[in-house]
Amino acid sequence: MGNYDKFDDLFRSKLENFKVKPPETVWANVKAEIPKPKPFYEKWSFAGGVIGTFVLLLMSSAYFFWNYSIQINPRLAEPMQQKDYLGKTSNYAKASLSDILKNNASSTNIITHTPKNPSINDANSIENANLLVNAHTSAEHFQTTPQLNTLDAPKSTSNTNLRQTTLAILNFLQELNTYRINRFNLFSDNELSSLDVSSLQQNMTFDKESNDAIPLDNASNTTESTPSPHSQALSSTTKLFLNKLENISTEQLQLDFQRPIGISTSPRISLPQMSKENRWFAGSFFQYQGTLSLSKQTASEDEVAYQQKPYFGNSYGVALGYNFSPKFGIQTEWSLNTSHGDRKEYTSTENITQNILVKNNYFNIPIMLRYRHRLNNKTKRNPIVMNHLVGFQYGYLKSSDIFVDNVVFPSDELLNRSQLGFVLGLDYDFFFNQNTSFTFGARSTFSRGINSLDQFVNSPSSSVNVLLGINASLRYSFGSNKK
Amino acid sequence: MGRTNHKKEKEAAIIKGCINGSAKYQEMLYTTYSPLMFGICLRYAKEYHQAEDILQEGFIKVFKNIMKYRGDGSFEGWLKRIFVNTAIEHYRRSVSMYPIIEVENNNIPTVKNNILESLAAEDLMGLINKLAHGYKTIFSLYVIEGYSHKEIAQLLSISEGTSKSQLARARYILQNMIEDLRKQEKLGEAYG
Repeated sequence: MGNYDKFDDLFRSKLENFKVKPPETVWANVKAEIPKPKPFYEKWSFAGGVIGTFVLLLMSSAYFFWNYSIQINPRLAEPMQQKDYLGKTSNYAKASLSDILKNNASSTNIITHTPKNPSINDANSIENANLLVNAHTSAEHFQTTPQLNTLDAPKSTSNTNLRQTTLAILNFLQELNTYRINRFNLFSDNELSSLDVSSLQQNMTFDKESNDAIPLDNASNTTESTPSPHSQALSSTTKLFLNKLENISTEQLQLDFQRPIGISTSPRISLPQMSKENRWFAGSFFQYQGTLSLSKQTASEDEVAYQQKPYFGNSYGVALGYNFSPKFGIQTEWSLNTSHGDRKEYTSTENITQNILVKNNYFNIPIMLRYRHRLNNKTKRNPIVMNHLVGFQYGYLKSSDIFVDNVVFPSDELLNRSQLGFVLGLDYDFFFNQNTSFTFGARSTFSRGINSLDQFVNSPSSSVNVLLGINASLRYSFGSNKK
Repeated sequence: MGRTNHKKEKEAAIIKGCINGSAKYQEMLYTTYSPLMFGICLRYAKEYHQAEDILQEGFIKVFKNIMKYRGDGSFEGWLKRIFVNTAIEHYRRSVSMYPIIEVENNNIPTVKNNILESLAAEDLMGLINKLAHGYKTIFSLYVIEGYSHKEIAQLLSISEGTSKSQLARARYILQNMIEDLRKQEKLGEAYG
């Protein structure tokens, strides 16, 4: 056989890569026989994305409507002019607070209806609003005939009422101190510092027999006739509060009370720290972003180095959202163009470097759940709201190019058209006024084989990529936003 | 190395494009590989038109099955196997019409390799195409594609002995043809 080895080798070497151009007609026949690919909307990935999006929207909508139906208080639907719990007709829309206070001041019995902790937090109901007003009315009564220094007060049938009234005012002031002050700008900073209501309350006790309010430091000496500093402080606090309260119209108060503020089984419902209204918002955004591959990659035999290089792109579009509760909202975006890519550098054993770049343009639609938290709750300034975002993103590849040492290969038909990603984000809304805000934040999107060169170089394995970006946005919130 | 990677990237792009059903990349694949594959088809086909049929059928198989390519070996090798197998299917269909005849004559003349070296690939293809269908199939499978006699026997449903004797006969005929060419060349020089 040895004689034929050379013979065979010569044939092999000359014919192994022998090429003959086929007739043109062959390609036309082949082309006609190739099965046509399914359009993207007929693929499972697209159908899954659409179904997932609808499920998410459905769940969010169900959550919203379920909560909304619970928040409806039938009493709120009644006309403003109505009978209060005493059967008296009140015209809250027109009456001034002072009128109500004076009218109700004559009745001491109503104090017995005051809840243990009459709170503006219970303001879901007009009745509670009345209770509060009545509590304040009694306060004014004691203010006009100062008897808050209980050591000087005669033991009368109003002692029990005095105790409850005092507690009501203290509780009310305490809450006002932490929340409502911001709403009505009632007190200046100096005045606020003087309203150390909690310490007053802690230092206050009651006479077991008379139920009179007694400051702790005077409890042991009930014969003291001079008003104690605490009593004076309480009295002045009450005066200050009532003077300020005069300036608030009843209508303004009631509007606040009628506003749905959420559901809680706790008797002390925590107040929303942001807008109590369900509001739509819309705006535009711009994002600057980079892509990282999370997959391990190794150099091939003829490479000595393989290095991933950063590549940055941007995206822009419009955003639309709805805050369906004080804490939660839903947000979607239409990223008209999202450009990002993947850049790698190979260095060979011969020290030759080759750069490969994949540039992609996507149309993205993220749908995210927002968890909102106001940061500057205790200041009078415009709100700053922190938002945590989590959701999914559907992406559609608009175009793609591969650059190998600046030689361009159109690659939009190499990558999957449809793509799903998981989105995490954090941003801050800086409100200029009730409606306009500037948003600044960061976003990360995790996708499988989002845009990577490895998607086809190491086919069919796919890699996990993360897109990190910082974004800025201008937004307009519809409706009024009470601070 | 740059060229190697360039080719690798291009090949990878073509494969991915075809998997995604891109007409542009399908045509790119055809344009890139059809001359080489047609050369293979011509070695196995009984005639030119049959080579066209094999080429067409082979490419349709490639486009339908390209997603099965796992990237383990070279893509070109994967393509060649598809076209060789397609050619064998064609051969098996026609073998009933042209049964392989056992050949006992192994009296092979020695051919000087320097003559063979002087021949161009086109000349060698011309010689192979003059062989009977069975001979050229077995010769191509063994000599050019590197199949063993056992594999050839399984592919063509013949015995290993038949494969060996057919190969020997093919070599014998080719050597005779080369010898004839040499003689014609000498005559040409004498009268030239």
